[in-house]
Amino acid sequence: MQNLANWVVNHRKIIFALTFLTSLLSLYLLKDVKVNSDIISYLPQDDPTVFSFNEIGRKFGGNYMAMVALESDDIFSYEALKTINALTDSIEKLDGVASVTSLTNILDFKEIDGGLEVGKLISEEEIPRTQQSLNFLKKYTLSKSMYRGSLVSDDGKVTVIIARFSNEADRIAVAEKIRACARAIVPNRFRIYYGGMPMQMSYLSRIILSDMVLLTPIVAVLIVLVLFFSFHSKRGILLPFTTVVLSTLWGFGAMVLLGYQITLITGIFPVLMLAIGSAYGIHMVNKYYEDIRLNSHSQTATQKALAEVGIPIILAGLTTLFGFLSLLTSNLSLIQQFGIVSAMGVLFALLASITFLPASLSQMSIDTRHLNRLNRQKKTSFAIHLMDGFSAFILNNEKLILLFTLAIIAFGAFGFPKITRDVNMLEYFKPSSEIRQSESLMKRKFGGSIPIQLHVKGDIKNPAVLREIRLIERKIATIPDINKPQSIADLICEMDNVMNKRYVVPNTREGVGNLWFMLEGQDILAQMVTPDNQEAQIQANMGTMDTEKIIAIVDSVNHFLQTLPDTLVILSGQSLPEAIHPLAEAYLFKTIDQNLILELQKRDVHFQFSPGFRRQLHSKFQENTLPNSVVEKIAKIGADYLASDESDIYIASKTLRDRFQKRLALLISTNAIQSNQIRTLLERTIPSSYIEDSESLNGTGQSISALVTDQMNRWKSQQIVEFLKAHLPEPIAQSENFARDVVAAIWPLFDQKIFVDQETFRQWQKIALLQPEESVSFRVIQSGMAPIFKQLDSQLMRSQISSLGMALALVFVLLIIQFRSITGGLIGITPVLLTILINFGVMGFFHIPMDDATMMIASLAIGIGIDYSIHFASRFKREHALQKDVYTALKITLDTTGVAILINALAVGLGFLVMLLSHIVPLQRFGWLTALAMFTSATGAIFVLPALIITTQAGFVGNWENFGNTVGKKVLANIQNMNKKIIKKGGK
Amino acid sequence: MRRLAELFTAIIFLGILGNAFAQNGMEILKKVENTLTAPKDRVAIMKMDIIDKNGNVKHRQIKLYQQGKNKRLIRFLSPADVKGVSFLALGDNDMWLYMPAFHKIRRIASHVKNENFMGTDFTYDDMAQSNYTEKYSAKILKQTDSVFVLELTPKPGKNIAYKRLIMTVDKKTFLPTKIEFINKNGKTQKILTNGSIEKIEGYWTPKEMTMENLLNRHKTVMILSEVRHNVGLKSSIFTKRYLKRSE
Repeated sequence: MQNLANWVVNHRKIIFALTFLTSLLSLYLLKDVKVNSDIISYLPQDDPTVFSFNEIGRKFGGNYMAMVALESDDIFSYEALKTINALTDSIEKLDGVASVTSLTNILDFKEIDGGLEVGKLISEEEIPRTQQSLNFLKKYTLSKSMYRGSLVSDDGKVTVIIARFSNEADRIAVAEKIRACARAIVPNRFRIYYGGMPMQMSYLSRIILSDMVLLTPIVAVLIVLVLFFSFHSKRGILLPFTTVVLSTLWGFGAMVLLGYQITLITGIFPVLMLAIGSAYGIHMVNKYYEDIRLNSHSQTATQKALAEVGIPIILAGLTTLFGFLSLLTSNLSLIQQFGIVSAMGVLFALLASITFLPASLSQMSIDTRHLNRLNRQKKTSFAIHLMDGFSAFILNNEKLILLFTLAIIAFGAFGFPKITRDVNMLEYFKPSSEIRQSESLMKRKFGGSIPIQLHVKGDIKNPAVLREIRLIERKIATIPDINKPQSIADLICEMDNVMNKRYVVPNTREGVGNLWFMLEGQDILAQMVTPDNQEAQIQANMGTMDTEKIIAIVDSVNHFLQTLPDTLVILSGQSLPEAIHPLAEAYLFKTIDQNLILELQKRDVHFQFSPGFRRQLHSKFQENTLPNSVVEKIAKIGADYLASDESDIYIASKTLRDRFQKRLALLISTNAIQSNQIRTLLERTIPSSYIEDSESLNGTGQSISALVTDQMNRWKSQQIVEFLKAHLPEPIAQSENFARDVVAAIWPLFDQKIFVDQETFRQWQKIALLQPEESVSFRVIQSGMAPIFKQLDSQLMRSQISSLGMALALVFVLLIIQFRSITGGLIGITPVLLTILINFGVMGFFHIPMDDATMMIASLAIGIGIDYSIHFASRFKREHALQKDVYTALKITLDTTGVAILINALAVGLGFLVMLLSHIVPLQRFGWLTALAMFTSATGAIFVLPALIITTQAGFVGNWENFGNTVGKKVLANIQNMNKKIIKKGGK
Repeated sequence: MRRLAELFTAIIFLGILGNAFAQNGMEILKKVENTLTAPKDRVAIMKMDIIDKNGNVKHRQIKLYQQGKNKRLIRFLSPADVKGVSFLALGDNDMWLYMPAFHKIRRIASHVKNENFMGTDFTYDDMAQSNYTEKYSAKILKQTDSVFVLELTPKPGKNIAYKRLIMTVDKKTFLPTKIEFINKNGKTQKILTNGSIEKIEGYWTPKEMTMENLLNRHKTVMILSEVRHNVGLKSSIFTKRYLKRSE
């Protein structure tokens, strides 16, 4: 060390030059420091769940979606709609915005007097003005599940405008532009909320920067104050402060060179550096002032000081370095980067404190005035009295202290399992923050903002696949906190509703294709299906932010997905062998029962389908006789078709049509309508002169058959709806879309095809030979943010344990080397172990969750807290050799090192406490918990460490043979008396 | 005083000149319209490739029947799941759609004129590509040896999705070779290019039409084949009854 000291003093010009150049380079690099608020990039990109999240985002363009929500008394007012329209237009014009969806440009399928309108819900040219038309629009919009709860809240007071970003967009810049648009366009009487990842990112960027700008100067002032009170001299303030500022600057430079960006966590780097990095400089300056009284020459004093404190400073720096490096065992890049950057910062602070700082000191002449002041200053202060009290207390109560230590161990051990985890980054913001306000609005009005995303792979246009998607939607809607599942299947149902007045996925490929065709080219399709129609996504809102609930949701969704078949077999109902009929019917009824039960559960009703109820219901399913009046009505509709301009065979004569109607009625009452039967009926009833060719006969037969079958099914399904309404509790029957959903649930009854799972198909095939029309493979994976949360949660605990273990191991080895004793290592590490236990105990009992920031406290506490133990043990060891009795040794240790430990812990702790002013909740928690850890590790070093050493008479501090005898009862009694006096005096 | 007179002369002269250009513009547009609707009727097979921004292509094939300015019947031949889907237009407010899977005909509301036609980049209105003089005023922006460049602005009271169109008209054929559709924000939204112009049975016919949407980088290419003119289509073809017929 002496060599280093000599070198530093002799080569100070080189050191200054290097310091200057490095700082200049770092300053230059500073221009490239960027904030990265893309929380997805914080995650391990090679993780399958993250990959899946990115994949689903890329395929359906959904991960980078900004939402602007407007709240007013009534969204359905001319002014509100005009505002929405203007905002939609202006956001659409922004570069980087791929598409915008809002009330004023959303696609709508309307049925208007027999006509189909695929157009805009609200025409841009004709925003309704009159109250009557506005009321109509409101009623209509809220009646459609496509809009209600997705674009407009149930109460019609909130609407969202959704902007999807193009892949190459600068997300934060575009998000800022969207804010600017909203501010410019939206009148004051509307409340504006921003949601979605890009908006959160732009908000986060601001927060990270504003936190840095706010907190750094406060900590800086604090550190300057601490330096002022410690040294009362310009150089005492300036040199350690410059050292830490320079090392922070170099840290940023290294960050740029490593290609890192400022994240949620590295944002605290300057605060952290100021709080912990100044300690090395303080040690150096402190020792310098101690030595300068004995050496009149500045350079000699510096050399001596450095030679003596160099090792302890390096040791203290190394332990802190190890603490940060232990974070590398985490596989969260966010934490790894923080570990590396902080370790480098500490290394720089350490290097600067043993090179630049002493070099500067040696360059300066001795400040004689300050020296005189120092000499005049009495060293007896309140702290010394306090320390004297402490030493007496320790000597008298070492058993008590150790007992208390056991209590702490119990506290930590019981608290640890109680610690909850918090991985949802939205939870990282104060409830009053913009992000949380938007989130809570989205939760209240739209059932949540974080989507559940299911990635479906298979032939999406296949009706069996679409029906299965509907089943999945029904099922997940019954899971608590999952709201409003939506997919392409719903759009097809919407189209079916307009086309066929039912909310069902058609059972043929052509049926699906025909409806799908109307959606071609619409933006909304690209958000739900890939262009090759081989993949789709089901999205639902998750109405909770709670990590544990999210994990429970992920698990129950996955559990359900595992029960799904991977292959679906499509069978024609007509060609099923006789032997299979009862099985097929039972399968069908079971499917329908299941659908109905899910529809009820979705509405939070757990109605028991008793065997009796099932029997009644199933007999309703089987009922085939229509009342005469109904038969007549349907037959009339069929006959009237012949007089329409659509019919290929046109019959103007009412007599002729009546004749056809009578015969048709007979056919309907036998309940077996097939187009060829109607064709035959037409042939027999209508004179051939009316019939142009066989195609017209076929076409008319098919049309009438479709018309009549449709009417019959409608009537029958209506009967079942009525039956259920009569048997189910009143509120269910009144619930939204109940009839619509019941009809959809029972519709398989009327299908010509039956979709079964592979397993059922195999069983049936054992009974009779079956010819499947088609079999289709099908796979669903849960994707999106929720599984990532689950993954993060498990990683957080793993990271905690691995980094903690690593830090403890490294520090333990260092202690063994330092004390050349395993016992020494064990005893030395005890205070930080207790610190960690207290930290976990507090977290467990006070419900402070573990998150990306609080997870790091343990490593940090070890890295910094161990310094106190090292300082204490080293000094005590020295005094142990020099002094005659344990009391004096302890007293001197505490009076010198003890005071220094306390001051250091206070300074660092205060630095961390400043983080309570942060806008990011985990950083607040991190701040005060770390401050607490500093306090507890200092207390541990001052109380527990001596108590342990004295009780065990540990050999690593020296030989107790000649020494221990003085700790006799008699001496103790004297000391006790002495202490009482001292304490009284100190108290005064 | 003399200067004022000069100014008046200038204004009057410019006015006349402008007017002359405008008149010429309308005349040219009328000629374009006449060229486009010259045959009494037309039957053709049209292959449509719909290409998205990532280069994914969807193929469609339709049969097209056209009579006069207003009557059109479009029947889809492929892909299989839309075979037989047919669309009948008898005028702006008289459009019908047939879905064979449900044996049902539905009227298409008139609002959809400015909506894209069946996933293509053509709106229902673009598909019509006639009646220009009824909807737009035109003036000549410039002319070269081979083309006129017209600016078309919607006539008052007409519900047109665009702010203006810039139409390049070939002097030889009087067919538009290129139309730029400028939206209400002043941005060029789409560009229609008519290529492979051939004289078929005495009528200049663009056999390849490409509509490119510059905003979403979506593109539709339509290629005509088996074009026949004046085949004497019966008016019964353009009826709902015929809509249900299979090809």
